[in-house]
Amino acid sequence: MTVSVAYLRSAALAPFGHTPERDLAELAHPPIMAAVREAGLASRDIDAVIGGSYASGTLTAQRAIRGLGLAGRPVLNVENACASSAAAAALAATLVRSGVYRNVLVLGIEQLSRTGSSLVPLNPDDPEVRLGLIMPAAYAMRARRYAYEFGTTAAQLAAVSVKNHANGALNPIARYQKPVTLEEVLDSRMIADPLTLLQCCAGGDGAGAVIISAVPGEGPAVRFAATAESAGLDSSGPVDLSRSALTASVARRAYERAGLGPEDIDVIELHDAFTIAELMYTEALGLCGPGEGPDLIESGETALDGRVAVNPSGGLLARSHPVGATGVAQLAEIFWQLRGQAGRRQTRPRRVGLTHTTGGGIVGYDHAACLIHVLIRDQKG
Amino acid sequence: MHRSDVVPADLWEPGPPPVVLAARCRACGDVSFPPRPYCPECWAEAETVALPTAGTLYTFTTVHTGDRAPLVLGYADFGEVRVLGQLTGAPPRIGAQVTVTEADTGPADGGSRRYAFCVSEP
Repeated sequence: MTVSVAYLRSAALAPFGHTPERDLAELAHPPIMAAVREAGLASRDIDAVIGGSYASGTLTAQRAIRGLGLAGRPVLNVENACASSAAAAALAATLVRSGVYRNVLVLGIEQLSRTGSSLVPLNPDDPEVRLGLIMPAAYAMRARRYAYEFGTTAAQLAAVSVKNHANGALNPIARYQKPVTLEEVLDSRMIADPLTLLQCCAGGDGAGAVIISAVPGEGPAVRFAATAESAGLDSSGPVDLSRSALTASVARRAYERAGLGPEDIDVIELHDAFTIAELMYTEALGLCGPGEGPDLIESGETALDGRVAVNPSGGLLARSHPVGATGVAQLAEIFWQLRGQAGRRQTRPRRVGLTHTTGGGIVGYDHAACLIHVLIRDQKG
Repeated sequence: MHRSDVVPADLWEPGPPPVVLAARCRACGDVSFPPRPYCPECWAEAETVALPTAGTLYTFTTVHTGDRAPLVLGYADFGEVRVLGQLTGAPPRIGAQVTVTEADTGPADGGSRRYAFCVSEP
């Protein structure tokens, strides 16, 4: 039987932080149990488990569910760098829509604290990595080119961090819950110029779970209106570093499938791995024209109480970026925002939400993966 | 981090003059980096070609990771190909001419030779 709708039925997140002494199952069990219970389900109702993780070892989903009676069914691991759990959710939604499974438990799990480095691990054979390229440097070069083309100031870049840290202060699971001032952002240690420490996301540890289901649970129903995904261009032809052609193209496809435009989106969780990223991605998602990203911050259009709240959770900058957990964390925030359950981060009803995740770090690609989900809260019939 | 061979030998030639190598497709003419024996666009056979020795700096950054001296990286355009390199010479500026040069990575990196881009004076 083909069911043509997939619902985001429940969501739960563990606090994001730095916990190398805990094991993966310890981190993952609370959100898994909460998500299953809040969906009004029991472990026997879960047809499959799909986990997204990047650098936390092998068989992360199996390790995360051990001790919960959830084995003995299909369990799959998806790795797509920063888009790992967004991709896991996309796969789950497709399988539910196609009628293969009724209820899928999707996990996002990461424990980067155990790698011993604060940098996202990259492929050591990559010729650019061998030259010393790290993710902050890749984005810093984007920021420099963007500023060259559009005259963006250091303060305009830093303002993204101020907004997102203020939002993070209202998020009980965010790793960083302290507002920061523009001066603090600009004065923080230079990582790769012009990006200072407070303009770069931290890695760390995190776990989250969502249930994707053929039927909604209790409360307002949130459905997947569209998903679009793609790898970036594999080309040495000049990649325009001041814009994200990949995000723009994936967004176009998502909007088309959902039958919507950027003006219809009320709330967005996008991939603000670095301040410049939010400026570029709001443009690529069609919220404004090239170089106009800073205007959205300055006018308050993308503020917590703005027309379209961008990163109400605090984003990657404040929540942090345990790589494999981010996709699920973004979906969870949109789930709560659409259902009026975002607590102090809820400023008005939001009906249409979007998550955007880009997995990077590979030579010649304008990102290895871009995943966009559009979610809609159904009106009660 | 694996540092004994910072730049694989097949990406450049020391010359003189040092040049970065690319692949040019014998069928469709596409030029790509890093060089492979076949074209990424049409899969036909590709030949290794030298990129021009002079390029234009597209963007750059200085990386401060604390455990080594700051590293200056940049992308430079050599015809149709944009290549990442470590920068030497004058303080970098977008639009500056760069010249492919040979550099020593120093004892911390195993002492291997590599290409770098020397930024010209304004």
